[in-house]
Amino acid sequence: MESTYRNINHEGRGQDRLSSLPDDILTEIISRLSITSAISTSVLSHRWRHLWTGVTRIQFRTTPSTHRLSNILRHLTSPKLDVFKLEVLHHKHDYSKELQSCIRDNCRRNVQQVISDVLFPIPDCLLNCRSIVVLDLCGPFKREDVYEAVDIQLPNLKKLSLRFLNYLPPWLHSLHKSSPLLEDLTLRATKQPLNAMPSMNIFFPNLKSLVLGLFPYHVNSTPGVYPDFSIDAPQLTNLVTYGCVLPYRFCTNPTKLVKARIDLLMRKYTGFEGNSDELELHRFSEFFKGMSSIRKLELVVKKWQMNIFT
Amino acid sequence: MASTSTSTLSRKLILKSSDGEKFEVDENVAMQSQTIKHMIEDLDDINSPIPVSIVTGTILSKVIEYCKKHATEDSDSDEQLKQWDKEYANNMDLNTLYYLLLAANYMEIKGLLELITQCVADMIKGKSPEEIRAHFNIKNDFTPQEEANIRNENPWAFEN
Repeated sequence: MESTYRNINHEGRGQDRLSSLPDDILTEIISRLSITSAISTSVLSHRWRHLWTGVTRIQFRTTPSTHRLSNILRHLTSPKLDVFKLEVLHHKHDYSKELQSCIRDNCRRNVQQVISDVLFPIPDCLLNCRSIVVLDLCGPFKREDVYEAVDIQLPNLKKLSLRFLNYLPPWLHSLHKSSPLLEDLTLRATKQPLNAMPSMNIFFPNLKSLVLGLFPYHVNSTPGVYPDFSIDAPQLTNLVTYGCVLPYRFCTNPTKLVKARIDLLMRKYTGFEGNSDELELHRFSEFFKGMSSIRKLELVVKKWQMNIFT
Repeated sequence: MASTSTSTLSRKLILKSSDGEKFEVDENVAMQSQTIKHMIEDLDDINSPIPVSIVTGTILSKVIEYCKKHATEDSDSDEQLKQWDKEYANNMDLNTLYYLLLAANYMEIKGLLELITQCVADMIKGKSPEEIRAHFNIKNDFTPQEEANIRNENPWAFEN
């Protein structure tokens, strides 16, 4: 460290101070670039030739081809990986297989964060990758038969976000046992209603932020039989819901709640019979009852009016 | 008893830069540096100056500015703090950024290291290799043939 410092300790312009920084700092800088940008630094000078292979974050902004993906992974020297991130808006092909094998490689490197905008079936190994802290994914696809037997083991998970769900994977049922440290949970369905009637216990002693959007419209079910999402999260400070809130039920009042945004989206008037409105009104007022500590409540109602303060 | 506990809360430390400049800071400010935290644990006399051997006074004052802001984060929201970080980094010239990187790395201040590495990464982002070399004064020591070979290993990385 002393010698490195002395090397760059010359005043004046024209000095290449960046290249004289220690390897670990340069690798840290390169790790913050997209993988394409990181690889392109290999051409700068001999000093930079192989630095990129030590990156601890892999971030793609364009869809990687199979060849590129395996080529990159083959060159990586870092035994551990902090982040694997795919931010790809348009992708032409189905990359399921490539991505699955890539995720398996990530798991072997004890990846901590996997963030993806691309839909792909979640490989089983990701569900018991003990190093995972952040999991932010689209999907998963409907693959109940495969997931059924999976034993979910994510003891370090702090943030889970699953968007564009078209069904609730069975392994979510044991999430509260597998991941007691969870602080941030997002579950959002596609515009299509979930095809099975799900229920789940959202019991997390450390949960601070909860985003639920599983029922874009109303609940398609026989009146009186609702899916049930019981919430027991004493540390919850931030709540956002989209669509129908009736299936969500607080087991204990969320006394620490500071901010809530309840967006009821659009509501269809089909499938209701008899006294279901009364039942809905009851569940609706129950849902808001415990929010006594709240400082900011934002209620978004479109095409539907109901006096919730009765 | 009560007065003892108050005095431990606002305990002052003296940090001494490589060029002999002394800075008196609150303990909670200095403790953001893991290196100093470990030094204090081994120190018998807390009143003697703690040497920060590779960091000059000019740089150390900037490091302390960062640590002070982040020691009292209760008063600011996360967004305000992010905005402050952004302005703090934007006000530094390249030279200062290098020394801050070395200081943050040596003093083990995770937040500062993240902030400055991100700042340098943002400067590299979106630039061609030629532009990066020009920006940081990096001398290309490859022969044209060597450079062509490297580009051919991953041609897609050089497409833009």
